[in-house]
Amino acid sequence: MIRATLDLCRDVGFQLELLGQVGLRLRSAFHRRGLIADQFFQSGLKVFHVVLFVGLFVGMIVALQTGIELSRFGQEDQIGTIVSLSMCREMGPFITAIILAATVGSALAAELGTMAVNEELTALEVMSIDKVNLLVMPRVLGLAVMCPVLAIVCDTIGILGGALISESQLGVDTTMYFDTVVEALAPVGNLLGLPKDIYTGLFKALVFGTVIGTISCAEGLRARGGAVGVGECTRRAVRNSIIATIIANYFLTWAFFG
Amino acid sequence: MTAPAGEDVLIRFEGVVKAFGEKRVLNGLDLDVHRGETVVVMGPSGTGKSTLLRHVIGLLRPDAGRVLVDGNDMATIRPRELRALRERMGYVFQDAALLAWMNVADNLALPLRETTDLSEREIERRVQEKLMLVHVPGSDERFPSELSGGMRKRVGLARALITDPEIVLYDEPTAGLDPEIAMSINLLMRELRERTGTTAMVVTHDIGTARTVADRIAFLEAGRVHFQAPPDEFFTSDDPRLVRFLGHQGSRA
Ligand SMILES: Nc1ncnc2c1ncn2[C@@H]1O[C@H](COP(=O)(O)OP(=O)(O)O)[C@@H](O)[C@H]1O
Ligand SMILES: [Mg+2]
Repeated sequence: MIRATLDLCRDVGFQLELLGQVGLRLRSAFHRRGLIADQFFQSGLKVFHVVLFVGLFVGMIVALQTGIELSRFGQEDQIGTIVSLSMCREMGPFITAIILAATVGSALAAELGTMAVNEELTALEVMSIDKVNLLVMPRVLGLAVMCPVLAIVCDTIGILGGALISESQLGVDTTMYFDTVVEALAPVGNLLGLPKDIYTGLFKALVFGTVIGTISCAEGLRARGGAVGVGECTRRAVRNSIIATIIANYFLTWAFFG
Repeated sequence: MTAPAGEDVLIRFEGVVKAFGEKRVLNGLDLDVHRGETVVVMGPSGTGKSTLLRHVIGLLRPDAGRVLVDGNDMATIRPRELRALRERMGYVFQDAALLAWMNVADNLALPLRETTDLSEREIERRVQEKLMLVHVPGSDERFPSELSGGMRKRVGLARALITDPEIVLYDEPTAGLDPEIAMSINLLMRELRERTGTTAMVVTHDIGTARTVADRIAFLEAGRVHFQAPPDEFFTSDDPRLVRFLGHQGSRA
C-alpha cells in the first residue's frame, strides 16, 4: 500500500516534470511546425470519423433517455436544452478524450515505447538530441489542440443526433429544438464571445488532451523489455490516461459549476 | 578535471564497479585504450561488455572506481562538457537504433540538423559522403524497415560517423550477419581506422572481427579483464579459460 502510493507519487512526479519540460520547449514550436502538423493529422483527422460516429450516437442516446422521462411530465419541448448542455459541458469533451486516449494515446505510447526498447531513445541521447523537443512536445501539443477541436465536432454532431431523435421519437419539431438549444447555450457569462457552457467544455478538452498526451508519452519513454514491455506501457498509458481524465473532469466541473 | 593518465591514454577504466540491483556486472575492471588504438572486448554474453561501452559515453556512471575519457571523469562531468565530449564520439548500436519513421538520409542528417548550424547543402553533402563511405549509396529515401540487416548496420555506422568522431564505440557490429557481410563490415571498420586514425572500442563475439580490426583484445570475465593481448598472442594463448571460450566459438563458426 505504501509502496503503491510511493510508485504513484513517482509516476505523477515524472509526468509533471515531463509536462514542465514540454512547456519550456513550446518556444521551438515554430521550428517544429512540420512535426506538429503531422501530429495534428495523427490526433485529429485520423479519428475524425470515430468522433462523428460516437458523438452522433451519444446525442441520440441522451435525447432518447431524457426525452422519455421529460415526456412523462409533458416537458419534451425542453429536450434541446438538456441535450445541448450535456453535450457541451460534459459528453463532448469527455467522450472525445476517451476516444483519443484509446486510439491516439495508445498509439503514441506504443510508438515511443518501441523506440525506447529498440535503443532509439538511447541513440538520441548519445547524439545529444533533445527527445522531449523532438518527440514529446509535438505529440502533447497535437493532442492538446486537437482534443478541443474534436470536442466541438462531437458537441455539434451530438446536438444534431438529438434533433433526429426529437423529431422522430418525441414529436418535437426541429425549429423548436434548435430554439431551445440556442436559448440554453446563449445566456450566461461570455468569454471571447463564447457562452460559458461551451468554453468551459473546451477548456476541459484542452486539459484532457494535455493529460492524455503527457501520460501516454511518459509511459512510452519508460518502456523496458522488448515487445512485452511495449504492450505493458500501452496498457498503462490508456488506463492511466482515462483515470486521470476522470479525476481532472471532476475537479474542473467542481471549479466551474460547483 | 585533469587526469593522471599518461598522455596517450584516451580511455581509462580504473577499478570500475557497476551493479544492477544485487548483480555486480563490473567488478573492479581496469582497462586502458590509447589514442589511435582499436581495442576489441570479447567475453561470454551477459558479462557486461555493453555495460562497459555505456560507461565510456556517459550513459552509465560507475558505482566505484573511475572512467576517464580524455581526462574527463565521467562520474562528475558536467552536462555541457558531456555534450562536447559526446560530439567527439560515435556509438554504433547492435541493432542500429535508426529512427523508424525517418528515411536513411534524414536519419543521418538528424544529428547535424539538431546540434549544428550547418547549411542544408553542407548537411546533404556530408550525408552522401558517409553513405559512400559505408558503401550504401542510393538508399537515401528508403526507410530502415526496408533495409536488410547488413545495410541497417552500415547506415547505423554512417550515422555514428556523421560528426567525424575521434572515438568510435561498436557494440557487436557483426552480430546476426552472414559471414560475408560481417567481413565487409570488418573491413569497413579497418578502412575507417586507417583513413582517419580513430580510436575504437569494439565489443564482439566474432573472431573474424577481432582478427581483422584489433590492436589488442581484452577478454572479459566476472566483471574484470581476465586477459589481454595483441591478436596473435591472444589466439595462441594457452590460458585454459580462453581456450574454452575460443574453442566453443570455433566450433560455432
Ligand atoms: N539497465 C540495466 N538494468 C538492469 N540490469 C542490466 C542493465 N543493463 C545490463 N544489465 C544486466 O547486466 C548484465 C550485463 O549486461 P550487458 O552489459 O548487456 O552484457 P553483454 O553486453 O556482455 O552481453 C546482464 O546480466 C544484464 O541483464
Ligand atoms: Mg551486449
